[in-house]
Amino acid sequence: MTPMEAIVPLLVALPLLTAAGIVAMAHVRPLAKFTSGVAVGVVAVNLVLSLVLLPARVGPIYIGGWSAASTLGIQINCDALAKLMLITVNLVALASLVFSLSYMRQFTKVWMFMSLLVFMVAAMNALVLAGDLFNLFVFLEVAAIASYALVAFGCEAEELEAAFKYLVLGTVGSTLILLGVGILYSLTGQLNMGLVAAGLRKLTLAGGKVGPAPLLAAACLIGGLALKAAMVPFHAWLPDAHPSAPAPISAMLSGVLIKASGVYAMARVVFNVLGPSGPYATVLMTLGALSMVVGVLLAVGQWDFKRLLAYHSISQMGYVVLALGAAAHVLSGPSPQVAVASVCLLGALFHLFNHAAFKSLLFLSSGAIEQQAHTRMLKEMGGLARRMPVTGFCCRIAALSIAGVPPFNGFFSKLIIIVGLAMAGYPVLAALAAFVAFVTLLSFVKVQRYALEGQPSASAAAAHEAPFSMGLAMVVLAVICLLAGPGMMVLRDWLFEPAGRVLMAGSAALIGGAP
Amino acid sequence: MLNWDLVANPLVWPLVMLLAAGTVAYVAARRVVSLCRVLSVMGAGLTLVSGAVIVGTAPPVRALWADLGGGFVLSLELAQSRLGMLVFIASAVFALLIAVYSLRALRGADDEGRFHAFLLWALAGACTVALAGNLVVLLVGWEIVTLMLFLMMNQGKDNAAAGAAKTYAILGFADACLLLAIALLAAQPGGSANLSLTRGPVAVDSYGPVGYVIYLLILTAALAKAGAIPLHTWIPSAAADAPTPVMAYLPAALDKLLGIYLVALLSLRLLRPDPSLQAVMMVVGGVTILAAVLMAMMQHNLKKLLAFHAVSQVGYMVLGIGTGTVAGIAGGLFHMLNHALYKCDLFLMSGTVGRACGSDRIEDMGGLARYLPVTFASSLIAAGAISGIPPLNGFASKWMVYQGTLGVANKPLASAMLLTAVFGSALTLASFVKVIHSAFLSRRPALGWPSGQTPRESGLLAGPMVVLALACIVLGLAPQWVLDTVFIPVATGGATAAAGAGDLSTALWSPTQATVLILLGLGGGLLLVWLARRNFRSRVVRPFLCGELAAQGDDRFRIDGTHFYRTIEDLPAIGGLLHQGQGGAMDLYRWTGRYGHSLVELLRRQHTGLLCLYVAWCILGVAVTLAYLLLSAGV
Repeated sequence: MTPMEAIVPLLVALPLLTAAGIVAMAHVRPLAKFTSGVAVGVVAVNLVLSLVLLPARVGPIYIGGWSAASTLGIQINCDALAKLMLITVNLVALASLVFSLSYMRQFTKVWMFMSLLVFMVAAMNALVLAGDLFNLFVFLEVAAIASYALVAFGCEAEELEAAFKYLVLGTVGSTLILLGVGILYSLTGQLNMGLVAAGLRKLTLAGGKVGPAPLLAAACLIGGLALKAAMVPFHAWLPDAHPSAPAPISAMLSGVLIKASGVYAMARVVFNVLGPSGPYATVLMTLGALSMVVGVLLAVGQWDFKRLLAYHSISQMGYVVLALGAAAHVLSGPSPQVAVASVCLLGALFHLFNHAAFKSLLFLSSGAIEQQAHTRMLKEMGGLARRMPVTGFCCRIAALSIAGVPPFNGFFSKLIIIVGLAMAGYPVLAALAAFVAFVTLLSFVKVQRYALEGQPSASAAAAHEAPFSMGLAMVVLAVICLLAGPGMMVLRDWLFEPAGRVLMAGSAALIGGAP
Repeated sequence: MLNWDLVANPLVWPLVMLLAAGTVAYVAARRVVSLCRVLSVMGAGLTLVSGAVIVGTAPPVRALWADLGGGFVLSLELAQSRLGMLVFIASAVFALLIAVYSLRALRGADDEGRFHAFLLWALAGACTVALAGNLVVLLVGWEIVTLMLFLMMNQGKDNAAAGAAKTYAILGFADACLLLAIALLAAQPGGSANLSLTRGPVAVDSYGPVGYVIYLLILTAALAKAGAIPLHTWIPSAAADAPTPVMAYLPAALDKLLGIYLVALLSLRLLRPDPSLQAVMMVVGGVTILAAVLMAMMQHNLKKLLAFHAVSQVGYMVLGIGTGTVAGIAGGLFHMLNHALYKCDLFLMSGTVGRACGSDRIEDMGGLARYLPVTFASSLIAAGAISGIPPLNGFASKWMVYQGTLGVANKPLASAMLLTAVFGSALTLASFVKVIHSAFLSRRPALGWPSGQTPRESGLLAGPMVVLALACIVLGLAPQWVLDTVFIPVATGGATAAAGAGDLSTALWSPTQATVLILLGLGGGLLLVWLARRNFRSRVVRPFLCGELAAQGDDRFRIDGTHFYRTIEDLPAIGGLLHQGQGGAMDLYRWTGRYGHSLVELLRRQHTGLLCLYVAWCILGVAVTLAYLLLSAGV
């Protein structure tokens, strides 16, 4: 095992142990006050480690004495797509944790929050690194359970109801995923993604035609993962769950959880396990387009700031899934258009990263505003840009980014997605995407008009600027929103291009079992 | 990483300088307002100087930024063209004048520092548009201008946020149209080379039907920015509450320049329109001229009135470019410049007058000619120019547009449009007679002055207006130079109609002879007045009211100038339409809002919060997915 390969398991092990450690520390009086610091520290270390890993070539790693030849081995698969997700997850987690240092003072039992959050980070790191389908499922569940608890963290009626809905629907999704994994296992006798893909290819070749069983598995997997990604019509849990959680958790859920456990897993399964084909691509594009439109229409009518943001998460993930579907479509068939697929994939992955930055920033600023103005309703705010200049400035940058205004990052990824769609031969979907971009702009004009501009309401008049750590977290994310657009080429060469190549390699991307 | 060609190219310098100056001003906005003032005046001035330096000398520059594959290349491409440099320099002039005007007009305002920062950034955006070598670069500059307009409008009075939001909504729609057009163009054979603004135009049907879609999308974007019907409603809505310098800077000047510049680029460099598209443009132009001027006549708020005229005048430009003749295109573009000059002047007048009277209601104004003679004189010139009175610039360009319209092959359409345009011009005159009378000449109402002391001219307020008024005169008397250097070469390259350069001699109004006659007439009139004043005593008596005593300042016997125009509201057919228009019946924004809202409500009603329903959706979703997969696999 090379030193780099030794780092990879640490990304999971460190936060997992820390999450348990925090619980222990909280019960030892002299250590109790350090819990938050430890949580921030371990996630910061994780972020550094994932950045260190970025240029390294890391082959598949076999854990716990399982051999490469074993059918049931635990394999860690740290390819470029996983690295992109690792950086995104840990970056947003770090910002949320730094934000929580001040924000969570209004809650009791902060250690519990910290422990759960670190636990969720560990699960997300593990799930993007998982090389086999069963581990993917296990860590999807671990991350989901942590998030159920975090949504309910406030213990008010509304939060408990949201968590309950989230739990029930999440379980439906998990069941579907488990069913899909089980069917694939029964068909191929493998769980390792690369071997399952190879097995499926063999099945297809033997029969010349796909039987109903792999399609059932695909429908279950896509449905279950679409539920995790909150694609319409599987989205109903999200608008309750995301706003109910404390703001840093909303930032984590919308910023990375739906991407890691939803979009990432869906892309991985469809591209690298099932292999991109026309029908799967059509399903992805339908889900994406539907989410994009329904999400934004529901968002534009909202007056609750956090609910509005939650609906936008559905809509923006729709963009990503739509672009993924278009890429899958041009890759399938006898003459794959690789160049067009790379444009679509670049747009999808870039938008995924950008959305992580601006949506978590929006949720963090909504938390800062809620803490000061004591309301989530836009009509009860007003004039906050003047009362809270730093928060207002960051919120404005994030709003402009999600609305796709140049020179912020969202503009570039949306431009690439829309051009990619047009190049892939879907001018109508491109028009739809441009229209949704316009409606997104409308709803964020509304946010700016009611929250930031105008006359301060009674509750907003007494607002003060957020404390330092909250401001710091927001400013860092705002800087990313500002720089990611002009710095697109650097990011593309380091992150998106290699990750896109993994997806484009299709079902041959993952080397499973014996090399 | 750093592209040396790019850094060394003088085209880039003003953009970088403006962005940097804007950033410094933004950071210093709360603490060192004086620095912001210096920065904005200096920044705009330096841009003007740099424009004069780079014109004709700086080579185009193209820095590859991102090759995204599939023929789609993002590149930072700047190039100068005649029309582009005209827009560049004119934008810098307007920025400079507005910066100077706001030194006084906004002194002590809450957001003064930020205003200057936004002014610089908006100028940076406008200059980017003017120098853009491809549509993507243009879009970036274009959206920056939109954003700055939104941020600046928000600084106005209490209700400004509503108007600003509407503005951003409509212009955001325009931006989305442009974005989509870019995507569709890039997906055509040729890839991003189709986006170049430096190569010649291709026929609109060479891309097939999608070419028409692209043309209409870009036209929509350009017309929304310029403010033509039906996407004009943001200008009147924002006018009443936005700060006056903002209205004078963006909707009156820069947005017109940029919007019409894009129309010109579209027709002359990207896609050559065919007669059907030209007819669309002409009709849009004609309807805009007439409908907006009728609405303008009904207004009682000076700024709203000016806003409707700002819409109406766009009609002439669109009509001119839509004709496709040399005279028409050159006239339309010339009108763009002229309109920016006089409308900027008039908005500045509305600011000064509103400040003096403490109100924007026309009924509350009056008697200002005595106190603000310079403002009066420059407004009179600008009002004359917008009404198309020779020998001012507005006449010169309108005349060219009329001549261009006559050259159109489709005679019935051309005559109808010509009639509309001339009639619209007459109504414009009528409307400005009302303004000049009410604001400057009528008796002061009994209200008194808001600050308790009589208004006085301020050099900083009047200076920019004088400059603009002089420009109106100069361009009216000597249009030949600017026509020969910019507008006619640009138009000759893009004319499609058979009427070529031959008809130019009649189309160009030659001002010398007529001007002498007009000046003689004016001089004679003044002489008469002077003689009369000198030799005849006038007798001032109190009005005879059948014995009823009227106090000296009684407003019942004051003619404020708006009464007369109420008759328009009572005209059969038109009057009712106008009333509905005033109520927002023709406002697409309102209608979209209303129908959009019911669609949203329909969707929201499905989200009842019932868990079993949500689970049912999920199961149904999986079932449909499975059914589709099975069907498509033929199992």
